[in-house]
This record gives sequence, structure tokens and C-alpha cells, in this order.
Amino acid sequence: MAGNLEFIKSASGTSVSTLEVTDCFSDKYDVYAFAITKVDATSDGNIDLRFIDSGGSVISDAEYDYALLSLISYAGFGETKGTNGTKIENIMRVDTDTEKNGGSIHYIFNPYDSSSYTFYLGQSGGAVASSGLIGTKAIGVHKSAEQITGFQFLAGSYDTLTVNVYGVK
Amino acid sequence: MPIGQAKFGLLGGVADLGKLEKIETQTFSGVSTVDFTSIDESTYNVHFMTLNNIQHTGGLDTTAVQFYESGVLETASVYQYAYQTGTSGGLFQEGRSTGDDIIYWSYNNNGTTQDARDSENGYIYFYNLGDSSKYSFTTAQMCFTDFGLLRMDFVSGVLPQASTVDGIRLKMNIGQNTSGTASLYGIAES
Repeated sequence: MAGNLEFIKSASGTSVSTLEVTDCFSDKYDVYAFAITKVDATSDGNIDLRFIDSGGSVISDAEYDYALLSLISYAGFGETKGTNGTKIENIMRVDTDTEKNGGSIHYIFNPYDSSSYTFYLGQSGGAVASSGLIGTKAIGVHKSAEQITGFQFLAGSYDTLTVNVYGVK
Repeated sequence: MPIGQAKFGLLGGVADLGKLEKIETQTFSGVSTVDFTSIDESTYNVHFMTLNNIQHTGGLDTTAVQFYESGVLETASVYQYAYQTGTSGGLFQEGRSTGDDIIYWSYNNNGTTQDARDSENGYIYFYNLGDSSKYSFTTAQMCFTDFGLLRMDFVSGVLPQASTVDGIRLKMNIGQNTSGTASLYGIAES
């Protein structure tokens, strides 16, 4: 059980389609948490995730596996999964109506360890679409043993997107 | 710093001991509701709660949540949720509602009248409670024993009303006498 969260940094973008959070992972922590605390989207959709390597480059190679369960209040649940993908898909649902967007908490394991894969798990309150709530529970992995220093959100169009990153002690 | 230590009241502005900041712990017994009415909703955008050793000593019951909006408890059938449950016996199923008067956290947990060792444990996140322009969301992961089987629930829920939520009620849906401990934290943003 983690003992505490220690704030590392906050990143925010306005009128963006991607948001990069750089230099947030280091040798100080093995486990990190990030919270998406504010989303105002200009189109309905999902936030996807990629990692950033020690050279500052966004990793878009086919090195990601992921599995996600969409918890839907008005219909049967949905599954999203993939192997050797170029990103971890659908970590949070977003909606164009500002008031309908929720929040989410995500964890990253061993990103800075160059001898380990980087693992991900997350949960989101998601958003209330036209028919009702869509939340998520998700896992993922970047299947390359390399040093990861940050991450990127993509696949959207946002008036505002804010994320806070914490080290888990 | 241990998770259970509080920032407020201890620091006096001298030092910042961490970003998971304890708001309140309540240990209770023989109750069917537990209210958190001072949640510092204007300070935190994300709240975190732990539930420990929740036991429905009166019999079968479920642990759920309702919200206070500007001091008024919302009891209408306006809440939405979706949950995935799984048991060590191999049963996995989903549940949902687009109009209930509660958000379930643990569904149909057995009471201690069947097995005195049954208890619920888990954690819950809350999002946007203090933002009057946003709906209020929650996600939860519960682990408990139910008729001798280990069971887990993943839950997403929402109060789909743009309002200021300034209180949280833990509600035992059937109203059985319940004991346990609940702790509420705020996640600081800077």
C-alpha cells in the first residue's frame, strides 16, 4: 500500500489536440499516479496514451498492448483490446458538453527503469454521453525495456486539458 | 508520511507533508448511514476514500453513496452507475442503472448473520465535487467476501447534475446495522 502521493508537476493545454507531459519520471519513484482533473473537449471521443523516451521523443512504434472494459450505465459493457498497437487506447471518454466530463486516476509502473517494461493501469469516471455514463477500467504495457521520462495524450480536440502527476511513496 | 496522517491542523503552514491530505476518518457501528459533511470541496478537485472492514451485522445489505448538493441530500432516482463484479467461484457479470437513488459500491454483500468474517474493503475516487459547472463522478474498486466467496466490484458512477457537492453519505441500502471505518482524503493539485 502506498504511503503517500508527492506532487511532481502539472501540465495543461488549451485548444490542443495533444498534450505532452515531459520529464516527470525519474529514479526517485518506481510508481507514479496521474489525475486528469479537467477536460473540456470540442469533439466526443476518447483520450489515448503514449510514452516519451529519454531522448524526448514520443514513442509511436507498435510496442503497446492494452485491454479496457467500458462500464456503461445504459447498455452492455464494451471491450477494447489490442496487441502491438501504436498507443494505449481509450483511457478516458470525453464529451463536448463541458459539464458531462468527469475525472480519472491512472498509475504507471517502472517507467524510468531501462531494464523493465512500463506498465499502466487506470480507471475513469469518464463522461456522460447522450444515453448515459461511460466509465473505464484499463491496463496496458509498453513492451520495450527502455527508459521512459514522460507521456503524451492524443486523439482528441480539447479546449482545456489538465493533468497532475504524482510520485507514489 | 503514513497515509493516515493529516495535513490540516498539524502543519501550521510550516511544512508540506504530502499531497494525499486527510480530511476525516469515521469509525462507526450500528448505523445505516455515515455522513461526511465537511469535505473541503473548494480545495480539492479529486477526493479519495478508503473503506475498511465494513460489516453489515444486521444481515444482507449493500454499501452505496449519495451526495449532498449545497447541503441538501439528493435522494431522487437521478444517479447513474455501471459495475463489473467477479467472484472466486467464477461468476463474472455486469450491472447498470440510468436512474437510481444511490450509486452502488458493493452489490448484495452478505451480512454477518451468514458468515461473521464477511467484510468489505476498498477505495473510491470522487471527481469534480466542488465544481458547480460539472457533474460529479466516482470510481470504486471493492473487495469483499460474500457467502464465503471472494468478490470484487469495479464501479463507475455519476450524479448527472451540474452542482456543488459539499457532502457524501455512505448509505446501507437496506438499512442494516453496519460497522467499519471510512477515511476521506483530498488530493492536492500543487
